Amino acid sequence: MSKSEKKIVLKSLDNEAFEVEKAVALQSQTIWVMCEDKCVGNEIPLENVTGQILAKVIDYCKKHAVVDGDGDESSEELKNWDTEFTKNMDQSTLFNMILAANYLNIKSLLNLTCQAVADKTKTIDEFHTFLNIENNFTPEEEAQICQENLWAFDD
Amino acid sequence: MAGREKSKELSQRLNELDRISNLPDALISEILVHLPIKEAGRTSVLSTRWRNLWLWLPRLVLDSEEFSSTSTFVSFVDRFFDPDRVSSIDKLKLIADRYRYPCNLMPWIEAAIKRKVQRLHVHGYVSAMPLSLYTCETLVSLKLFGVHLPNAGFVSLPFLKTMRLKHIWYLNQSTFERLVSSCPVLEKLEIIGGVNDIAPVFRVLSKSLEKLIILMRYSEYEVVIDAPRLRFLIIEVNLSKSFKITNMDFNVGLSLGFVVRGFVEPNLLSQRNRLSCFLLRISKVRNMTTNGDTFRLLCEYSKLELLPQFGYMSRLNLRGVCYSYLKWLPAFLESCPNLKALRLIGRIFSLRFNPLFFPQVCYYAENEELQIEKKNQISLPSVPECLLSSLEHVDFDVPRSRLAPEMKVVRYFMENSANLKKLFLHWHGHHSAKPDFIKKLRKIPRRSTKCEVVILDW
Repeated sequence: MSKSEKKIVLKSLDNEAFEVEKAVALQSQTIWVMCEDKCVGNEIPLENVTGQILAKVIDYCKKHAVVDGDGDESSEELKNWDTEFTKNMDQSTLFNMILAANYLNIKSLLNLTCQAVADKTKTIDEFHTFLNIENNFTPEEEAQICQENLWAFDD
Repeated sequence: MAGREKSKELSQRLNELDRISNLPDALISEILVHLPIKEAGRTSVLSTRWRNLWLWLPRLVLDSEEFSSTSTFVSFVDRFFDPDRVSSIDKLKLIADRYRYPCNLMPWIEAAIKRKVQRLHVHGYVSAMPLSLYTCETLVSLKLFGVHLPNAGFVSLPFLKTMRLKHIWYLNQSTFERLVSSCPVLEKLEIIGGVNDIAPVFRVLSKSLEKLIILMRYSEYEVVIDAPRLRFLIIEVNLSKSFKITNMDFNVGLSLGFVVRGFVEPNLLSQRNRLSCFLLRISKVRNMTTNGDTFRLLCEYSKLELLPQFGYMSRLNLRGVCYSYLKWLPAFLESCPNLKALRLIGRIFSLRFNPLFFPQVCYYAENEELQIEKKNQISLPSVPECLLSSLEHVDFDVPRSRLAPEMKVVRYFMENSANLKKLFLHWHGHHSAKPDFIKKLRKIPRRSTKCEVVILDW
């Protein structure tokens, strides 16, 4: 395989272009299918992802790629890297990362970002504050739901 | 009024920020699966949008221990498996102790099967399984612990790849056999223990099976294996019962662990024929791992009968073999003429006789070792064929406390192996003693000119 064939260009919604190793990009099942179909050239337009988010996705894929047998990162190290990666993301970034991971079909990234949201929302109060979810129940409705799901509130 | 306006404005602003709630249901479920089930249930009070989202979880663990009473557990699971809900469940782990929590798992499992469960794990403690389990067309992985399996009439599990059956009650002798042989793509099977007397024979008949693990140290069942594609086998069985392999690919990796009660010769004699048939069957094995007890048994056996030639064996791992057993090693290696790699791992009492639990045994074992060291009595008289020709790697992964007998074994391999390329030694001692150890090593003559000694720090 020549050098140019090993590279691929990903173009974001806001027209930002990223040149990456094919092995890095192919962690996305969506891109993999596009490449298999051969209906695209070396440049792949990703209409649902902004450049800012795509840059982060590429960072993740680079870290997790096995390029030319160079992927002997210890799993412990990779796990720490993953934790750091999502640690300071705000909810809007996480939201966009979840959508991007889902659209690009990168299972491990979807898992990681969903886990990150779950980690930040261990209690209902945290759900309200971190996710800014507004409680639109009346107190009566809320009491009724608690009653329905008593098992979840019994401690 | 002004306050109301303000709160409306605030809620609008919040709505803009609350983007997670705008994710599709399937993606919110992906977040909820990472929460403990109770936390996921509590999200029902977040907002109208979230009220029923947790009921769509595609993967979940339901453990009766996490609920304060049987009735809360039952009402929750009943609600989750509402017959009107059709979303598919990828993975379900259901743990219910019937003695503490008398409940009927059957309808829930039936519901999960209807909802196309792919991975099902049930810790049931004498709960009966539904018949529909035998015809679940989506099942890929099935792990059952302590449940009752009903009589299998028709079995069709076209996608089942892995199955673990631990302490199962079989209501009929043929159930196990039919279950295993009716899975056309089954690759991995684990059978651990067994609880009833109805199925004294475990017949593993499978054309697809690649990996088989049988751990039945304390049960006395007969086992028959006919699995031509088998590549990996771990067996821990009680030798007092029959054990038969009728058909097995020779390219198999094998881990052997026989349990022999008492180590008395008459006992061994009575089992001689059985062992002899079995060894003949496995004589084409490529890789073999065995524990100290089994190694000793094989060596005792070899005094009575000739061991078969393991002509294909290229790798041998001996786990938990203490120094006193190493005196049998040359004789055993005579049966492995083409051995390429030998690995010795740990000592017997470091594995079986944990000094915390068996201080007395450990003391004697240590004492025995000490005697050996004092007299330096391991004698390794003969040099088997594989040392002269095929043996290239020896890995000596043994915790070192005293050096003399161990050095003798190391010396034996260095002096006698004609084609040894690498000798791995694992350094467990104090670093200050290491230079002296290396000095001693250098003095040992090496028969192989290509021999490299690698010392790995523990």
